[in-house]
Amino acid sequence: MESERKNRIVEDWQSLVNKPVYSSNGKDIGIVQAIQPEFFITSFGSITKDRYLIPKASLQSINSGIIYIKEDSDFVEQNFKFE
Amino acid sequence: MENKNLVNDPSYHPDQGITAAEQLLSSYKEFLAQSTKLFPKVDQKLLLDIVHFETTYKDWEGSVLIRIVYSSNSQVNTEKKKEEIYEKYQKMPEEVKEDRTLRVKLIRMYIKNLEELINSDNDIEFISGSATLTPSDSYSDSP
Repeated sequence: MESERKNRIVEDWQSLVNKPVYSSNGKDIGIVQAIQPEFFITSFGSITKDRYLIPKASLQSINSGIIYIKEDSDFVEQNFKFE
Repeated sequence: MENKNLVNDPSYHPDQGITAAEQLLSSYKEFLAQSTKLFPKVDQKLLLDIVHFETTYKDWEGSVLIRIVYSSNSQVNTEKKKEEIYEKYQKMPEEVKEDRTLRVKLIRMYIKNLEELINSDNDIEFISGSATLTPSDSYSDSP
């Protein structure tokens, strides 16, 4: 239900590519790199990139082109980082 | 000017005002939507690259570098997963992210093999990576 609500808010997920993502405590999580059916992928860093697989349901809001997610940076590191 | 091939297409109706370009883009979007629906756990670029190589080059060896991401919610034993992959493909994956991601270079990984891999392990949350035209031992890859 929650993810359906988010899907209604974001009608075109593809438009989020290249937008910056921040955690709930204001940490930079990177830039949206790709959109998947249930997730969006962000990458952080210039040479050895950290990559995060973030559920679409985690999206909290989009403000002035910046995407905010519900979880804080510690949670993101522990649960969403995959590379 | 109307596209002759499109005009010859019995499904084309000039009254609808659909150009060949619009129809092609629409078909491509439908194809992407279908690929997402059929392979929700696979990165779309990887999927399309495999489809492209597999259908274009009949002698393509199915050379891919894949990253298998396991669910962070389940307590996955990555050592066991490594052994399972080794038994199946005779290639030992390396661990990229502790308890979460394995990376392995494989050959003969065609679309049907990718489907089998996903269906064989419910712990797999996502597969990304790249397909290459020729096999390589190198582990450097573009994102």
